[in-house]
Amino acid sequence: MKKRLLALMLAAVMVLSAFTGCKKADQPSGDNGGSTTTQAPSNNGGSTTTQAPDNTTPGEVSEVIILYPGEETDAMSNFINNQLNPRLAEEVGINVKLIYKGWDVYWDQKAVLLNAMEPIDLYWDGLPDLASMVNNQHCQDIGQLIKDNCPDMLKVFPESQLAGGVVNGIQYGIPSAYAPSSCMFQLVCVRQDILEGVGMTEIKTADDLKEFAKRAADQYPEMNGPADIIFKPLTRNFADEQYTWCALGDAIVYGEETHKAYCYFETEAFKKVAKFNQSMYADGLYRDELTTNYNERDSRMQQGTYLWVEGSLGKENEIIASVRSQDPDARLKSYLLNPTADKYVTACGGEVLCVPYSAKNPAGAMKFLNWLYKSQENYLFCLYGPEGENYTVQDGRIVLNDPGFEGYFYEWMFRNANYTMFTSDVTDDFIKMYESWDDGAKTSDVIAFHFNNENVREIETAINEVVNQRFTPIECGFVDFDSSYDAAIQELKNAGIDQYVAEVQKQLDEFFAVNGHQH
Amino acid sequence: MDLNENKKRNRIHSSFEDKIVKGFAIVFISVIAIACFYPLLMVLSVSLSDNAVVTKKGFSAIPQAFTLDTYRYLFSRSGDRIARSYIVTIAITVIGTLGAMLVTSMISFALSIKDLKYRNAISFICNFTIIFSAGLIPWFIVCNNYYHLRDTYAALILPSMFSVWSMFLLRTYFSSVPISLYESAKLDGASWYQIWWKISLPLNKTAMLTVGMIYALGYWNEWWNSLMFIDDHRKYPLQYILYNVMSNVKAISSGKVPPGAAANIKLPSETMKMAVTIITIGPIIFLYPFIQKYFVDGIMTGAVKE
Amino acid sequence: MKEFKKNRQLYLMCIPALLFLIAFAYIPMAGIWMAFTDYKLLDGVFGSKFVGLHWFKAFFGVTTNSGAKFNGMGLRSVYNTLYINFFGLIFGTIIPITIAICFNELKHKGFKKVTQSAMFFPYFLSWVVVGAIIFAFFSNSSGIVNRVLESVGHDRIRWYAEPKYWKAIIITADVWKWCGYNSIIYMAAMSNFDPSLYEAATVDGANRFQRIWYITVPLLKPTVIVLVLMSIGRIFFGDFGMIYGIVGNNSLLYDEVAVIDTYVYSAMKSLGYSYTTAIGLMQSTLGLILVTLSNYFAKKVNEGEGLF
Repeated sequence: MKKRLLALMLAAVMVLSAFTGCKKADQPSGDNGGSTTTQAPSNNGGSTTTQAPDNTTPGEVSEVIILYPGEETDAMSNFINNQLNPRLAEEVGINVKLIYKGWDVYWDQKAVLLNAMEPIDLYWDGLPDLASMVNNQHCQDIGQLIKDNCPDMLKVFPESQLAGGVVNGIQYGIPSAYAPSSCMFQLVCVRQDILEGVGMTEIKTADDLKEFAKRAADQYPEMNGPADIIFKPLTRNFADEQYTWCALGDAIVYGEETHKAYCYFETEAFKKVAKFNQSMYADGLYRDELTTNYNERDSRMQQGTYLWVEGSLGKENEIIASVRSQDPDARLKSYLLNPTADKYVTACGGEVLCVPYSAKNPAGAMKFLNWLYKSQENYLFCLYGPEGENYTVQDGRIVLNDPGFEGYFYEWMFRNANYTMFTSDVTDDFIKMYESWDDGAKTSDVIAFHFNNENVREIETAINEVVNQRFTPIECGFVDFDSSYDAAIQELKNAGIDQYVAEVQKQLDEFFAVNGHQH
Repeated sequence: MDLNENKKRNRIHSSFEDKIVKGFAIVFISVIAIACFYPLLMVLSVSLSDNAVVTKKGFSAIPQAFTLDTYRYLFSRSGDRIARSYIVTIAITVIGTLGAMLVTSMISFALSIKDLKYRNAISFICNFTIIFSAGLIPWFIVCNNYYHLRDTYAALILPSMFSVWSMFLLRTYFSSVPISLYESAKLDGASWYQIWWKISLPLNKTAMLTVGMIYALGYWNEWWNSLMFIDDHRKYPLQYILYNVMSNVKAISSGKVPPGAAANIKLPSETMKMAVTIITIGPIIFLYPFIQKYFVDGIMTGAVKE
Repeated sequence: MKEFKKNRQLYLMCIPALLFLIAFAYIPMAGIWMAFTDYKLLDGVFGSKFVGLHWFKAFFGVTTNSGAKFNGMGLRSVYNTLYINFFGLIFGTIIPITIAICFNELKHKGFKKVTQSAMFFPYFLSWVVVGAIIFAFFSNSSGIVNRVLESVGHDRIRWYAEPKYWKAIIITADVWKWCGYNSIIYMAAMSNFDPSLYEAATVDGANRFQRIWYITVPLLKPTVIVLVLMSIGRIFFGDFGMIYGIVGNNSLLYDEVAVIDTYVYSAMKSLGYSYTTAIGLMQSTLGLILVTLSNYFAKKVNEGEGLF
């Protein structure tokens, strides 16, 4: 019967519209007639936002929406709703709301949300990717916003740190991890307990590592050998000059002394690294997964059955908890290969915070950061909560009530050397080393250089293919160097590496013409 | 007498071949069932094992160093969310499946009538959407900015409410009903709606149940739409919460995570991954034996009455 | 329009579903325009610069802004996709049908219930978990397969370092995951078969195998054809989650297991969404051509009844 069908469809429509009505009330749009963002359709890179001075009417609270990687926990949402937001509302007139996206989908989701012009006010990404974010028009000019809203933050962020977020003369992001960082990724974090167990005391060269692995294979058969082929520390070991990676992932390096860009895979250092790794495989010291599952090196190390992994300053503190949960006797220590060579500060940290064009409350986002960095008390509050609740401060150290406490906002994302307070399980020796770590370190010429790949995008894709398929196995030492190298280089040339390197060199020359050399 | 002997010989002959067929069937089914069950046993046993032992010794079908710690940790960390998400999932599964079956059975029925002149054209229009899709960004912009599905329960139900694949399947099932049944009803003055509701649906119980199960499983496993549209954690369905636990694993192995963050990501242990899987399957295992009898009774049901 | 008057109710019954398709499939399709532009966020979907067939050329390695020579990986990924999907389709049809038929021949209810539940489980496992299970079987040191090989005196095989096995492993995993689920579809179809046909055949002296071969299989034809045709439409689309879950980012296996979707995904960071859309368009168009041809032949085999 028609009537019956109509009745059915009507019912369905009513049910469905009932659900559509269930959606949350629209978020307060976040600004009170103050700052406005204009989405200028054809304005790429120029200043497209007009910011008014802060004129929040007292009592009105604007919302700041932050896109955040990871998984929401009850603890974190309680902290934000019950402890952080009340304080922020009172002191700065804002409330933060975090939108969580899991790590696996974070970049895809960020692209989708930004492309759909979702009102995100602040998000995180890796600093090396800043140039492509600018090309994708995912971040806007925040230079003026910072000047207007972040007087306190600027006190703990030196100009040199902020320069890391400048592309083509415009401040697109805030490099938020400010800490001693020379020799990034050039350290080898080893199982000190096993090192001592085989009768060695320290690691200085690649041969030391090989010796360590050999002895460990004999005396500790339940260990699985190294977790990582550590090509960056090994490059430091074998190269005559400091090579700083500056473009195309792992493919293009800048020679700090020769002042030129090279394809990493054409350097002599690479050949030595590859041959060293090959000898490790030949001696049965490396396992297959170092090549087949290269990206999982940190997870391997955290399983507690591997000997060493590449790292930066403080690596041992970051993973010791996970390692100890699998092997309670573990001790970790980091070593620098080729320790007498120069130390270089190569980047302004690894993290950057940006504001997209679709942000409705960019000033609010800046105010949040400013508040976070206003004082050590605020900083620790955001990272660990109010003092006394989850931790106490004793002798300038943080003593966690529950050692498994994960903290609130990520420490690695907001780390600031002016405010860092170590937990009680960090040794005094380490702190001494940490504080003097950058002493005598040179600043890399390319510390604030961001390569713009707009003209060479397809070449970049082709090169990445060749690197992933041909050079990763060679670099890991899995395939025979002599028989595979020349063919692989030829493929690289076919993909257009020479043109790419020339483009990098050209942009470097332009960069140095404006900024000069650091040393 | 020759005829009888022939028949006897045939019967003996056929019972031998019958035995081969039956034997093959038993062996084949058993092998496949074991091949499907053994990994599940591994998953269960790993979820009940101690993670350190599992990393060292690999998976096995028997729990090593039996412990309930993984489940305890999972529930203590996300217990509330998991409980609430069960409710959300059950609700969207029930409502979604009912709605979907309504919409789908109508069009499948219509397209199963061979007299319908434009059925092939409509089928093509449907099939086209399986092959062509606009891609993620346009779809998201339309759903988010035009339909305002953001953070609504409708976002969990509507986009999946019609599956062309299920529609074609149901259409095929409906087609096996002889048209004569409909014709006689039409002669009696019934409208197509009545034929659909009173004749076709009851006759095709198994088919409806099968396609209903397909939709129900789809809604039960729903996480994609929650990922795209839902921010409010009270609206998360079960699968999305569990998916998030696993998400760190894929992130690390894909190499996308910058090294600074990578070292700080807490990786779910092997045992955690398996525990999450068991929680996913759990309710289905309890439910399935109840609806199973409809499928097992196979060929005997749905007999067409002439 | 006589047709619409005559069968008005039937066409009305199609409306809700078609509305869904228009809302969620056809309206977003306007975004396919992105395949022909260099999409930039601020220019929007329709305001970005037009680049024609640029992305298609990039896929096959014929780039315009360099001296870069032809890169065969695009073609290779198409081959891998077709290979895996083709054999996945064949075995993914034969095995579930065999399961359904065997099931039908058995009478013991308890056995049937237990085995059917068991066969359904793999459907629930995510590809990440399946990858972990495969690793448990094929890992070099602690893998079950290697342990079995050693016990019969054979050498260990370094599975994850040998590309040649992995297409087969992936296809097997794909069939394994879906065989229980798919078999139920065929069982449901078989429940509609007329038992009198079987009775008549038994009276005529047909044994079980003959009944299966001459009655059951032909009666399954329509179902098989519909499912196969739908899969053919998607035959150029690789299962991204499956490949990533099973082999992850293993550079040694890349040549053999890279499907179009994973290949495109790795380039997306440099080339953007326009590239993904363009290649998706290519996959769709090829699929459409193939399925139209197949549908034409299917109609010949199945009394004029195809997919559309």
